[in-house]
Amino acid sequence: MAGSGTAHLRDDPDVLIRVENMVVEFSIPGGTVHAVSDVSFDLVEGETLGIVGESGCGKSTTARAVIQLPKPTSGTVSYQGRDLTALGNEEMRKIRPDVQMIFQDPISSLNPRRTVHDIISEGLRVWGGRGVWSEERIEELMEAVGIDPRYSERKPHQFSGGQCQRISIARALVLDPKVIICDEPVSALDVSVQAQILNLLEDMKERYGVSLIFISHDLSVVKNVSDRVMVMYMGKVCEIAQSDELFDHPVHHYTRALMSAIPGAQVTGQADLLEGELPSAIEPPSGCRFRTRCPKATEHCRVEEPQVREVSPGHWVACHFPHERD
Amino acid sequence: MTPEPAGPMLEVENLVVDFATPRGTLRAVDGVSFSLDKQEAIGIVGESGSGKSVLARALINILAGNGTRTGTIRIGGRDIDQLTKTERKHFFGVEVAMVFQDPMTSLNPVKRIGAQLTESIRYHLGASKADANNRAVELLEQVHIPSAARRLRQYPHELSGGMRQRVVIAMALACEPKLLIADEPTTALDVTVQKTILDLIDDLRREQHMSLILITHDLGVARGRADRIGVMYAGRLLEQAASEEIFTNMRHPYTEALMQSIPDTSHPSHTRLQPIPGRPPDLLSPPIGCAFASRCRYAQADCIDIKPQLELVPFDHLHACHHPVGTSKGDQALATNLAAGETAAGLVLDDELEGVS
Amino acid sequence: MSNAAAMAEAEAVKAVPVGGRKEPRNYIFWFAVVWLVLVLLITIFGEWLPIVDDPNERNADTIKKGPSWDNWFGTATFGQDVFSRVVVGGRISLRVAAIGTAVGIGVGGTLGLLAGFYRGWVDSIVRLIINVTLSIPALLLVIFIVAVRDQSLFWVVFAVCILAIPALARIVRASTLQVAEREYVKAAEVVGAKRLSILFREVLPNVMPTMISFAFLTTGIILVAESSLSFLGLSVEAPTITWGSIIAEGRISFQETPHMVFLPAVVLFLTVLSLNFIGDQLLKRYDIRESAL
Repeated sequence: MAGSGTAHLRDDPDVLIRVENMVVEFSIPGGTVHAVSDVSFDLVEGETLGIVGESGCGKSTTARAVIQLPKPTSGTVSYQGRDLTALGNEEMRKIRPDVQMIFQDPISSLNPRRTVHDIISEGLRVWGGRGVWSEERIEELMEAVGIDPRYSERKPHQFSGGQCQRISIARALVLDPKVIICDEPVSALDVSVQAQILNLLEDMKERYGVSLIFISHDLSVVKNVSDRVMVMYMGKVCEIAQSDELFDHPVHHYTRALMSAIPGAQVTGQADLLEGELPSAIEPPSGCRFRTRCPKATEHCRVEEPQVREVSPGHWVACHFPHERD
Repeated sequence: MTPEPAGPMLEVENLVVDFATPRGTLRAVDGVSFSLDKQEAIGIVGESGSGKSVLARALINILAGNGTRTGTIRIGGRDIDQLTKTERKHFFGVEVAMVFQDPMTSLNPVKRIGAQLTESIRYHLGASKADANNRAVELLEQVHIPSAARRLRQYPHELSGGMRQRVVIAMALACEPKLLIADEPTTALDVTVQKTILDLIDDLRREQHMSLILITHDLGVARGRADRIGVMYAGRLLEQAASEEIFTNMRHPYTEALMQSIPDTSHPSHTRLQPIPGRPPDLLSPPIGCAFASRCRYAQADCIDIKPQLELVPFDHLHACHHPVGTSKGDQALATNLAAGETAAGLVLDDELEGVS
Repeated sequence: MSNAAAMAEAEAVKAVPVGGRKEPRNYIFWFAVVWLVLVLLITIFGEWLPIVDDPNERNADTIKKGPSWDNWFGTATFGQDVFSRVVVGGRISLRVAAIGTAVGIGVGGTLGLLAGFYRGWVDSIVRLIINVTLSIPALLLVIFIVAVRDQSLFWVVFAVCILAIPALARIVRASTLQVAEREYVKAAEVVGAKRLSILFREVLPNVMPTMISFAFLTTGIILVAESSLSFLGLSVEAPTITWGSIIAEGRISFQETPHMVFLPAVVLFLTVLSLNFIGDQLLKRYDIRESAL
């Protein structure tokens, strides 16, 4: 895996976000952490792109770097044709309302000392001139996400985790964004509540016409909400395809290992099991970054990094020796 | 060691755990009874606040200071309240071992792995230093930690999360316990690591003829790794049956709802999920009747007034429900509710169940 | 990840619910508040009360007398009323402490807030200032300042401020760093709020409780520090009185007149204890609120 390349980017006129060769590196005392290395992807209007991978694969950093938090070390992020990496702080700030975000921790993402009303209306306060600044908008949103508007003067700690996540969704929607980045939005919730939030996200997507970048470590959740899914490993793209295609016919050995590890999954046939430990992100393996744990790795994988290539229409993989598409 | 007494490994009878809180008494575990045979594995499944972790802590006698327990716990036929102090030490270090969700709960961050492992071996088994050391290496190899001898000199922070959990399992196994209690042992880990750890626990259990209590919020984790599964909700065991029986023939509406709310990779993407409406009851003022009644699609008037007791139905299946799923009573209850458009508890039944969390 | 879920579970069990007002130790808290209010009222408005006389009025009839109905705290070396001295001296002591704390919070708090929020070079400079000032032995520094300048109220306050600023800056910086990591701060940035607005609307309100709690603790520390200075004869010079100078004066004839040391010391002790207790309780209460969220 561990592949690079931009062959899978689409020439659709509806492309909202196009990320090319994005690299994000952090300096730490022990060296440089290669969090995201040469990742490319795009997002078409109305689409949900799922990014899945294990902890440390850079999925969250990738999504956050799209909105320049942190700024990518190199590469371009174009939003509706404008390169966000070239913008100054103030210009970037003007674009922020278009790309909103929902965070993992429902509690830490709401300021404990502000009321729900203040939290949701913050965007309108900042961008008073933009759109319709009105109490009705807040009320409508609260109702849409399933929070009784009578509770608008309450503080976050008076709500449950699921309700806090609803408030976060309302806050993200208030500025009428084009894209919402959902960073593990249901990981901290119980399964029964998780289903409520996932359904709500689908409804809001429909109702307000937003596109989603949905990050999760949970494959079944990602499959449920996504149109396309990108699998990442150690800051690289492994495989990207339509959701159903990817889950029915995974060809990357890492994707296959991930899928066979889903708890309760009825594993059929030969399961790909992962051997060994995750290598250090400071000194990632040469060539294909997955080769140290890949059952099919050869000398070729050590020397040459695989490029993204198409195995079936719309199904892209970065592997020299992908599994047969069964 | 004493000769093996006959009978089950663990018997829990009417276990109740109360916590004194500033707002009143919180009943975290409410009359749980179950038994576990030797070499058997039971999975206890429940969501946050269901009392599953408190149950585990009550079993090994480590409740928080404001907690009180009533009911009997017999391990290997012996009531744990009747044990002397020395016997208790033997029980909860040698016979019964526990693995927690966060490996750092059990590991001392400033001590080497080797020292921590040998300490417990020497303390409980009275082994010599050299013997303990050899045993430690053996244990690490048993949990498939590569270059075990070198690891003994490392500190916990030098290991990955998965490796740490392996060390904790090795520590738990050090004294060859007869009962292992694993409380969400893989929740903090990645899926691929989770799988290897679960497989490891499963293998070790069979090799060492241990009994296992696997506590988890994830039905999938318990599936295939537990012989039986118990489903907990609001401090009560609502259903208990053989693992596959629970999945194919669940009787309790909560179990059914829980399974339906989990996204399934075998369904196409954008399949509408069926969440459980509402939220769990406040344990400080629990409902008189069934704790799940307010969220249940099957709820009838008797569910609100009378607390259902565990009932044994064929194939060794226990459930606590007046109108169980898949029976004529259940079908009838659901049909009545669907016709009325709402349940006896006032839950509105749309085509699609959607509620406020 | 699911850590949070598990923690929520543990929390649900431990259940220290928000609004659990019925803490058994609360009456101590209120006792501390009442004591502080009483001390403040009496020291501020003492002069207009019939119970307080001129603290420097000498009276040959009542030299070194123990407590009595006329002189609640007894009398001093020249027959002055010790209670009146405590009241008037308290005004200076408390003023020094209050000014020290205010400057400490104002300057130190601002430095800490900026360092914790902006990080980078701002943080480096502030950290340097904090480390340098904290590594100079505090008492020596104060002795030095007071010795080279003069023992006027201004220089005593100045010296005390030098003590308070780095200590508070460090605490506020740590608290700001923690708050700035929270996702609601990121969320405000994502919405497009300006940096300064984020600092004032998201960060400051959440650092405030820590600041206020430590303000109480610092006031207590400064009261003790000022008394130590007086004891060494380095605080404000006579005829100005402070709690420290009263105790220092009484020490000379401690065998004869223990009340001259003991009673003012009790007042000082209870006041500092109350300040510490209130600061501690506030800190704890806010901590519980945070963790129970």
